Amino acid sequence: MTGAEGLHVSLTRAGPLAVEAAFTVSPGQTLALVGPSGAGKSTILKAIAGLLPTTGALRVDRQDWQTGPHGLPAWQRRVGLVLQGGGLFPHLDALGNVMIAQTSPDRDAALALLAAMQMEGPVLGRRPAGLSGGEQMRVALARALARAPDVLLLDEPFAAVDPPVRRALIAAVANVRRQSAAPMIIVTHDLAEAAGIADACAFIDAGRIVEQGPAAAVLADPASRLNQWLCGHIANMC
Amino acid sequence: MSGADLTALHLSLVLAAATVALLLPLALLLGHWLATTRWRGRALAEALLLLPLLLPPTVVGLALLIGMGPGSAIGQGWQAITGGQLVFSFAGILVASVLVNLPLMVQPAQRAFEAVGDDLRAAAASCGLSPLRAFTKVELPLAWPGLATGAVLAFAHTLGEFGVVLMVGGAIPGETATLSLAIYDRVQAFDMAGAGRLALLLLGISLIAITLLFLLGRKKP
Repeated sequence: MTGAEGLHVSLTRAGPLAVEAAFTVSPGQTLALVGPSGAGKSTILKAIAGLLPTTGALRVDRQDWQTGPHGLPAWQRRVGLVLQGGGLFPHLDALGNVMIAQTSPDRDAALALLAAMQMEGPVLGRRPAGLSGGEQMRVALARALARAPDVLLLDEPFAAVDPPVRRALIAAVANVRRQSAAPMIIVTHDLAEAAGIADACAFIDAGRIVEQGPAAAVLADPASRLNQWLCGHIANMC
Repeated sequence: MSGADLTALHLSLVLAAATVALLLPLALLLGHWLATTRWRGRALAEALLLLPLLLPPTVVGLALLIGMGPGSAIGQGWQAITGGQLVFSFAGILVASVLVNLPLMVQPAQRAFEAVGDDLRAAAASCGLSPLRAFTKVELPLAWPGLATGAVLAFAHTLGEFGVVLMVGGAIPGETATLSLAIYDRVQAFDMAGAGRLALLLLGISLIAITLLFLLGRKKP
């Protein structure tokens, strides 16, 4: 269960990448990891999820996830992970994809989670191949909540969808935020989305966090060159 | 068909079925290991695994004949346990058949497990599935068409196996004389009609097996 402390991260290596990433995400708080492609955003996310060998410190509430030579195994970390593209199991239908993540199978609870993501009716009996990109992502969001996670990790959940679907998914993520008080980290390229979703923002370049702080302040007062570049990027898009 | 032909057919079917049954767990373990290991010697392991498929059957047969013969440690160990020889016995051709067909089952299994991909393994772990549960709930259901393909290939290949079976088993009726050896014996005896009938029978069984393979290939997991 999520306690009062939240997620504390202080990593020096994640897989093959030397990183310099230290931050805290409090319960109920959402941190946006922003940076250019290849900066190491997804690598840090996977390191937190236990999917990569990692050095440094990683603590969730009072539990040390970096304990032992390899850290707590990924499957023992209560993480709600949404991968790019959803990462749904292709042999299971939408409902099955949510129920597989439950500690004990509870069809009604799974249906409620899917309904909270606006997924109801016959579509729940379809496999991922029969779902649109947006629907797949909604199922993935519901699945991430199914374990009652201690930490929510979203890896570019809007990258592969069209703008209208993207807006609907942002609303779905806001719904996720309401469903769970777990600290949430969202990786995104898009600062506008980061500003809309996140409470805090951290810029990453070459595995190093170059700037972080409250989302509104960081986005309003770009200090680093990377930050300036990213904000310029947004201005160009507007 | 004569009684001897039926005996040969029965022996071939039992040999093929036993080969697949023994290979299935081996292919599961080896295929999964090769698909997921980051061990540097993986390429060498894959090459060694393919050797029985690339070498002439007589060479493989000769190696097995020596390696499992009465003078070998394996042959002597077998004799100490069972009191009989491993070569020129059904058990001997079964061991030979398993070794020869190993690449036919492991290769499709490996490709099938590779196709599952790291993303789904990551998703399974983040869903709280232990490695064993991830294997049974996610990887196996997705990889089973590849495993089935390998099983059908190995079954059909065992039915038609000639060189290795002849080298290791001789052609002892009821013990090691399979259908393909029976065809050879008929030709040696200038019984071309009998050989043709048996060949047609083998062709029919193989055709059914290959059709099954394509049907399995089309079916989604």
